Amino acid sequence: MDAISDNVFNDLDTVETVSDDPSLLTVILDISPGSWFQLRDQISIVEVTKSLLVFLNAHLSLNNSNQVAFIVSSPVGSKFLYPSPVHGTEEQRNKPTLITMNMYRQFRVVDEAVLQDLNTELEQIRNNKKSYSAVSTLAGALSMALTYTHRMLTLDQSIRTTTQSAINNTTNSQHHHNSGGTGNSNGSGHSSQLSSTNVKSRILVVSADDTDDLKYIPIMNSIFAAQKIKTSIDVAKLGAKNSSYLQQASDATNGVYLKIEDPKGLIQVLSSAFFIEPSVRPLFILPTNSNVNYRASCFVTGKSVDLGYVCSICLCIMSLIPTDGKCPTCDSNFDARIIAQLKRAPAVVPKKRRKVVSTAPPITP
Amino acid sequence: MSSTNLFKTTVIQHLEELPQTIQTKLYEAPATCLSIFRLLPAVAKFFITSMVFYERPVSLSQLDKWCKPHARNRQIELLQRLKALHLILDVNNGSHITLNPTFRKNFRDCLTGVQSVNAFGNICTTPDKHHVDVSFLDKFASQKWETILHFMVGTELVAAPSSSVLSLLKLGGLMEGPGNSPKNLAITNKGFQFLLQDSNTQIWTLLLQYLNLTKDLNMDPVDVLNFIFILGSLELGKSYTVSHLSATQVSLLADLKDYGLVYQRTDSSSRFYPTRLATTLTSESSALKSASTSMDQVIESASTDNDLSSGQGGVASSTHGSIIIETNFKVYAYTNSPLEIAVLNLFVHLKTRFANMVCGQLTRESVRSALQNGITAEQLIKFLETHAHPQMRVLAKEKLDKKIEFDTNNNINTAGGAPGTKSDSNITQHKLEILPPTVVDQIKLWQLELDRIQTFEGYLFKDFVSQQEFEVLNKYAMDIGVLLWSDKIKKRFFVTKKGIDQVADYANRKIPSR
Repeated sequence: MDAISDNVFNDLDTVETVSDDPSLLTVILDISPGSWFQLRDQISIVEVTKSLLVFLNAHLSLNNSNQVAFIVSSPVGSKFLYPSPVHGTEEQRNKPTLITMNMYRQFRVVDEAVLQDLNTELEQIRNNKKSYSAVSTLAGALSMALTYTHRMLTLDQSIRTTTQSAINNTTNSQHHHNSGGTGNSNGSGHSSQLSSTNVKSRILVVSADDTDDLKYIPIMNSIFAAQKIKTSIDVAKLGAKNSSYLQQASDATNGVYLKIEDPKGLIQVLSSAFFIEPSVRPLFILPTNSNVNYRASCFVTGKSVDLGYVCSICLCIMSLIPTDGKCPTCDSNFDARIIAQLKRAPAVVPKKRRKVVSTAPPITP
Repeated sequence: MSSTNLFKTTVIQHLEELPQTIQTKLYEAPATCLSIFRLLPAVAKFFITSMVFYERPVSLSQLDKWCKPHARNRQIELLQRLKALHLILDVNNGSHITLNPTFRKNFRDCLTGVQSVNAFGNICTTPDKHHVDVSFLDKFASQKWETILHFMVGTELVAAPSSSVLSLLKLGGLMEGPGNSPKNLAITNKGFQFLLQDSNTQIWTLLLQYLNLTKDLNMDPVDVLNFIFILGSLELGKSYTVSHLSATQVSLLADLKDYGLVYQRTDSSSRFYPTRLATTLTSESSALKSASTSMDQVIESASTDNDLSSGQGGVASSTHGSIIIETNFKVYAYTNSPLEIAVLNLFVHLKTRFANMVCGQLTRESVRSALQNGITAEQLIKFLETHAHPQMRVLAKEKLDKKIEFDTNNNINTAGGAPGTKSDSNITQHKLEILPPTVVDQIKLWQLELDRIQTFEGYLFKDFVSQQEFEVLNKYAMDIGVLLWSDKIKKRFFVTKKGIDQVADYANRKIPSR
């Protein structure tokens, strides 16, 4: 009987959990040339982009007020392709459009901006072959994505009086081309009036980088930031090897990590495994691998370590004992005796003792 | 709960009831596919997208692997609804499902952008001589819509809406009276409930009535629905050509103009503008809310304009949301719109009225009278929440932030865990409570007082041969969430009407002797 009379309360709760909140999806595409060169037989960047655009469209089709952002991380640096900070609308109109005019407008605006800017970005990489460093800028792109997410989340909350009016001003000034920097400005501007903590967000990282030379500390900081704003980081890893840091990122933020064996079927994976919205995540079993390698990286050499030393003051991780006996991060002196102990070569247990132990028993009658 | 909620008959339910041939015809339009997809629940959307790019049929057991056990009920319910829409079809004797091929093709085309030219309306390329901007459209829409609402509450000095609107109101049971003369119509209980809804639900209610009418008017329902769905995907502030529309759609346009969904300067004008009411038709909750608030905002400002012009005087009311509720059940509403006051009067015992505000008290009697009129507690709470004063919202937000901070400070260790892995109780703890919880609970309790007896339609299973047989079926019914009551000793249980087929199927499979 209790179960029946409680219905009024229960029903309200279930209604709450199924709510279709708008969500923000940020896609980070790693376009470091080296890694894609290794994949050239399997898939090209063009094909990946195609799949990603369809993926973005699908996300936009979920809800009228859904938003997307697209960031490339290239050796030259990370850059927002959509929403683009500098948007030459006049130029855009003169250029031949890359996307068919028949596409649903909301999709077309995004797809066109992404394609055009991606082209110029690739062009840039081609032109200055030598000036870039080989270090991955994914960590930077990740923090850009997080700052953007955070901004969108706060924009959406009650601090609207000033920001809201600012946005409205910008939308009014550019209402003839609201494809501009504020995203789908009409919808988003107004939807932020009432919804409180409603907007959900997630980040998808698409990377083919096998070198695993990500900077450990920035990545970890991004992970903590993502946890704080409750954003999941999903990772689609192409290429031969798993990336342990990205694995950790998705594991710590309740994201999906998948290493895609056959990149040709990317769209199928994107539209299924990577399509679990944050609002329905509690209902689904995430198709992620539980075998996460929680490796950290050495603060001195920058290489990842499986077994190392930890500073007892600041928890800094080292693969070797610093020669000056000081922690490289917090500069505190290590105890000389302990260092000596650690440095001592492993001693072989003397045989004698063992013998004594083994000969002891036969005293029994 | 479902039986008391009159306005939950959403467009999806209407679509479910259509015959399959019409549904399939509908899926031939990409814009309709997109709109229907948007109207589906989130989990259903996931199932559909996961099948869009997957050609082969998907086995049900594979689908089960996606869902956590506690979501199983919902999954089964969703699949049934999708089947009713014929979006998914059974193959291999029900062990596998596949997406409706027409829908799959058109939805995929829509995502990849290869659909035919006019799928999303035809934008006028030439500039309009008579400049029309968004604020004008908003004003137009609110003025039209407000006329209808004001007419319903019987505000004086308001011109009656057109006869087509009147007949819709009457047909929907929102107003009643002899003849079609506007003076004879009076608002019904259902009409009062209607007023409590957000404007999007209100529009859909009218549109669904309109759809029911189409059969009598010899209009093609597919044409009408397609046009409504296309409207939802048009862009605010852009004009579209009339010449590409079919004859049915042109006549529909005239009616939609009466509701304020589209703006057309004259009936013969070659272009039309969708208003915000139209462009938010197929979007979900938050966008709806924004639609209704922006509407409220305009309505309020418009009504203050009216008041000023009619010499009553009045201070411009706050932007949106104007109701403050205290924990002692006192209600203050900063409004002078007769519409809002009339609505409040449905469930608040109003005591004093000032130039720019009214105050009153939520009492057991006032709420009970509303409940007896068929308004549900849920509706009341929803209404109060959406119309809460911004200050209430700010306070609630602060409280929530404090709670979250307290939480994170107290379990620093678990803060390192994944955000989603927290238990359900934790999530409910962090809900934004705009209204004082005491008031919310009390309103629910007042409703419970009235619902001492609830009726459920269903089937009783009895006369089991063995205890084991009983337990197998009982457990199954519980697992799929259709069990309402069971008695172990007497070996009887009762399942809902919806669940009978599944339980009977299962019984036939598990207990071969029958």
